[in-house]
Amino acid sequence: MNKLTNVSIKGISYELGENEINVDSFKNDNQDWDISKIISKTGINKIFYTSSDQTAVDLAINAINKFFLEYNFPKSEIDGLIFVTQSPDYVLPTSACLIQDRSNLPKKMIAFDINLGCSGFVKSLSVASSLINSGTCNNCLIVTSETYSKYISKDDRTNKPLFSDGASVTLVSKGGDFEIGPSKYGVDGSGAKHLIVYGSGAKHDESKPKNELYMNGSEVFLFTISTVPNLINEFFKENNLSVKKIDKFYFHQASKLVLNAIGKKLNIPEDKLIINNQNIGNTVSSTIPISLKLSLMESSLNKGDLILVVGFGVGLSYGLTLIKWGS
Amino acid sequence: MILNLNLLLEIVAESTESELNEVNIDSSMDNLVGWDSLGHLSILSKLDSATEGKAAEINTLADCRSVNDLIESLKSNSLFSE
Repeated sequence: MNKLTNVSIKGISYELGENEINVDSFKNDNQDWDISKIISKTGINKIFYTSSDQTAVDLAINAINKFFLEYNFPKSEIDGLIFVTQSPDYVLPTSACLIQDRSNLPKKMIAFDINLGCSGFVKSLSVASSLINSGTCNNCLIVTSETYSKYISKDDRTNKPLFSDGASVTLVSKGGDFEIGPSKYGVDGSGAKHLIVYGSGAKHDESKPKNELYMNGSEVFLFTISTVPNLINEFFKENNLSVKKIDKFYFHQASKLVLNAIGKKLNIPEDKLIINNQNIGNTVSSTIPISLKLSLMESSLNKGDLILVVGFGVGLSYGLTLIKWGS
Repeated sequence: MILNLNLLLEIVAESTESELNEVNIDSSMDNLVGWDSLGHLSILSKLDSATEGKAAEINTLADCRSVNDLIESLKSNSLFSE
């Protein structure tokens, strides 16, 4: 995707699962876990879980309600809805349709789901901007929502202290002075087996635990620290950019260990490498919009800033987009 | 950079928060307390730094469970010398 102008990010809101959990507390049920070491490596102190009867769609609707309260934008002007999730209520119907109805959004809109994880926001941002640029819609909501906690077993030391349930809403609109793009994407399906929920779709493998998140942390880590820096270096070369020219890097907030490894490989100064999910956790497709929102709340994201948003993970799928932040 | 045994043992010790004298060629995830899944990620990260980005391209490193495994994996990619 080339640089798209005449678009803007009008606002971002987010919502977390209603149960706040200190990662420290996992020690109670897992005496053999070295919790302080886990926290020091992941950088995550708190995570949030939804209650058993709350789904990703419920969480998304709460985030949408919050968005309209926060921004006072007329619902009637929304004509696009992209719902990014891997925790749909049903295989069919499409969750975006349920959300349109339950959120009282207009019927005359384009609405669909995108099944992507940690790269979902970056790719949806490109899709939304392209829909606007092509004249398909004028005001597109990107809603990301995940409830990975429902796929994680209670004694899973790899995933339990990491993932958090959360949703975000980002309004991308026609008009304004943002520049979105260029972008660069990639996918390597040979690594799909390293981050997967077996038995969650039509294919069944009796030898694998059903509906349980499996992550081969070492494989995903190697993929990330090789692919992401290469992607960025290629992107920089193609667009005559460098670390120096970027004001801030918003990576998918996987964990401190991963982000520091990427930062070190690319020589990104600490003040440009945003790590701000210590008290939120890894909310999958929502980490980047939440991270942007936290920066906005701290007034540390300003008009004219050149930022790089980079998503990577399940698929294995990855992508980045350059954004010149507007007013 | 090509790694040698001393450097590799230093990386494993530092990554697993062990004393250097606790780590040897027979150390593994089964007998070194700090070599758990997170410790292994630290080893991979430090190996990648030490090899100037080459280690991240070696998928077999992900499955290594011992110093011997690491040596074999690095050797087969010409990143280790005796």
